[in-house]
Amino acid sequence: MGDHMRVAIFLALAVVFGFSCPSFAQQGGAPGADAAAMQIVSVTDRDGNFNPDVAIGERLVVTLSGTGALDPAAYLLFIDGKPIAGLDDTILDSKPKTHALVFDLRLNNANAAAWKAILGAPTQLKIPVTVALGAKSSQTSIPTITGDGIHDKFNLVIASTWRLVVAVLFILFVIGIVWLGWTRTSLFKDNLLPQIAPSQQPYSLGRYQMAFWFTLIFISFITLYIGLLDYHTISSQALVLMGISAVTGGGAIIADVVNDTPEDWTNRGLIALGFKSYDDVVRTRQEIADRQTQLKGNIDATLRQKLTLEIQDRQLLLRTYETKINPFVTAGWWKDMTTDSSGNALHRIQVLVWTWALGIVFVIGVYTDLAMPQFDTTVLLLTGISGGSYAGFKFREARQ
Amino acid sequence: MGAQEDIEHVIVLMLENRSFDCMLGKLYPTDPSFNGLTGNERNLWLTQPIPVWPSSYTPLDQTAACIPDPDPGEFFTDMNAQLFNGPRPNPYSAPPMSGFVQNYMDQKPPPSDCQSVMHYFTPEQVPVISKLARAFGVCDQWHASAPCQTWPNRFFVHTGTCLGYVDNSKFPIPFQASSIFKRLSDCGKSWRVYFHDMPQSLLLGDIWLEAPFHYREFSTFLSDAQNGTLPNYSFIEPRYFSDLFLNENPCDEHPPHNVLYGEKLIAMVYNAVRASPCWKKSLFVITYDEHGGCYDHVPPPAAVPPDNCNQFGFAFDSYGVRVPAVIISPYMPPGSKVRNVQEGVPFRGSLYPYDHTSIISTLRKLFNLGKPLTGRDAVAPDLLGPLSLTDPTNDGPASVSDSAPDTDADALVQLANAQPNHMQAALSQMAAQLPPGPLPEGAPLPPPAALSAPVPSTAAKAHANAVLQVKSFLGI
Repeated sequence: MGDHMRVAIFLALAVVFGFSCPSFAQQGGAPGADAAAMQIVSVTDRDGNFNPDVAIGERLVVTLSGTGALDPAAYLLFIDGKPIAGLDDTILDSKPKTHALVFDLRLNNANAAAWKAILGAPTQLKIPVTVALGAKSSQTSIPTITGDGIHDKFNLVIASTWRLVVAVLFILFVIGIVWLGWTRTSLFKDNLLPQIAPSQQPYSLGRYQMAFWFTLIFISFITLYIGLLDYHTISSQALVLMGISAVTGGGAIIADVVNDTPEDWTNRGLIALGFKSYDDVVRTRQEIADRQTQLKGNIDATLRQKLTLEIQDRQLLLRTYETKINPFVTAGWWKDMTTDSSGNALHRIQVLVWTWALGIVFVIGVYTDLAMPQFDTTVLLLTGISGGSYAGFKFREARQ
Repeated sequence: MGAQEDIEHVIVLMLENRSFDCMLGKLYPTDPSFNGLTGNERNLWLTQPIPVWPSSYTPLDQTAACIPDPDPGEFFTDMNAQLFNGPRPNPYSAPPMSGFVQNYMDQKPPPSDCQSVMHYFTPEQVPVISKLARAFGVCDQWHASAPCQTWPNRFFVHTGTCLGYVDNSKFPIPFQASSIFKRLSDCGKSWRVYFHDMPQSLLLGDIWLEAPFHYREFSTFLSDAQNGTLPNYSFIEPRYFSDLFLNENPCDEHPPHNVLYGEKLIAMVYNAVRASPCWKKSLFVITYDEHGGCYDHVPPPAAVPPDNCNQFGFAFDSYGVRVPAVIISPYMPPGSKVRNVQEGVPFRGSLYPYDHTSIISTLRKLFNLGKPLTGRDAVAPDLLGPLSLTDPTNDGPASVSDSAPDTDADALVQLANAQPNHMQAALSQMAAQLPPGPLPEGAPLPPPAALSAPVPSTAAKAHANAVLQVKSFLGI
């Protein structure tokens, strides 16, 4: 069915509906009174620009034909045939002389579904849409006042340039922080041995999972906010996902803390050798370099022998250090994620794959529905079981 | 058929620094033929009699299992003081064994408890070695080869001499005497040294070229036993250091190390050998290198000097204090008391007690290794005689269980941060003189040199250095 045909049917129904509603027809200034005669003359932005770019959060001015006073509370805005309810407080007849209604486009519980139907799965940053009006008292949600098909249009901006720029910068900033934390610091690493350089610390599956969901949910939140100006977009399921990942990661950390693991043994061993942290390793290397520099100078035999022995002593300690930390430094992201002390670990791979699968579903959901997905209880339970089994295996892994 | 024809695998586990009375003195308390403690033995400290005593804890707690703590004196001078409560007489005469407490209290700083060196463990407190001693044979006539520290006595077990050095730190390295290992190699017999952290036997210069082929970590012993691939001769060295990295306590029983970890090692070795396809053709000897200042009541008899070497006027013409020796084989009758002279070894005469060189004489006889290494092992009784069963029918217990506690991390850290004991210090110094890697075939040995490396400030550093250099030398 074409749009014109649909409009014709709507109009026909509106006429029928108008005649069949005496109370509506008898009200002066109400849309039903002269709906057949009224027409949308223009759709502009607040500055009077025709065919404007308007985003949620901005004002849309719909000018009607005729000169009679309008009752703003009686009109319901339709965009692309979908009623945008819940704008009562924003409809103004602020320009009676021009016979215009001013809509402050907002997203709220009453119109969220309509907005998401209009904005969902976008392929461009602004969408050309058609405006119509209907009677709010109508039970049929059918537009009764339309335009001429030319002056009743505007471009619904999914994200204005400035909001987009700010959001993209913010998202890039967050991704950058996460990336820097991931690659340059030990923020997302196990950190069980403080003597290992941050760049050599092994990656932590628990922390990865936490970072994954945090980043995904945060970016989704920002994306939805810039499109909908709505900060109520974090679904309870998303919170549960974050909670599960936090509990999983926390469980893994607790497993490492409460068990006396080979990492703990190595830590104690290195402390006994004078290496409490990586700074001590750096210091020892520097002490060797300093003494080697001194040896190049003109020094007496006694001092030369003393420095040589001190260098040898420190070199031996460093060799022990290198030998002992070797099993615990990163073997690369993938291996760190998927292996434990006994090799490939199914419980780790399971957590990783399940996290990715849910992540993909999450992203698709946000894109198509402009909302964070509502995972059902079974999916969340499965995620919880997956995380729980990982934490459980982690306890056993730590004891081995 | 019999032991001499059938025994193909000799396994020796040598622990550290405990006297016979300390570990096994009460093994057969009501048997008058057993030369153990009566309970009336005592030493004087000043005028106060200090009797032998056991702690009341069964199983042992951490404190009781580490007695004596601190470590008693173990230099040559200390040992003479322990035996004679004064200077060593010349000529050597039977020592009264009366100076243990006095020498202990003469240590610097003086220990707080003068009774520690008179302490002994009951069989219930050291159940593994006691059970095996009763199930097979215990030798109450086994003496350390010399009243000296660890290294001289460990050199005796490998070479029949210590070339005249009485203390650990005086030895030029590499040690120059011919070893039983080399003799085994020359005669086509297999051997391996299984070690935990730092094999003291690696000081033997005549095996440096082939050492990487024969030295294996202890875990290999367990797999060799399981696979039935034990060599003709296995020598097992315990863990001398606490190893924080492996969360392992020392298991050498060297005071004040916890004896229960030594018990655990004994149990591991026995259980592995007992379950091995090699069991029926095995002889397993558990002994200790020297008494380590712990009291024993039997005066060491005069001995045949191994060679012409001497130090401080001591010609190595007397044995050291008795040490525990348990002889395990399916050819050993249960409950045996292994002795060379049933009525007791004369203080001076042509009959001699068992000592560490008895292992050499046993190996020589068992594997036809030719003439003695020294004058000492030439007269040492071997262990084949006591293996008197015609067939290997004494299977003993199928396994033994130890009661070693889980590792106490705090105690381990304390040991690691302590100053290294004499043995640990010497091992660390010795490791510094090992070649940096395996020697190529035909390479000349470096000339013997005195230990010169500084002693690390803590046992942890001594351990780290020693392990690193040993592994580097062995190429593992």
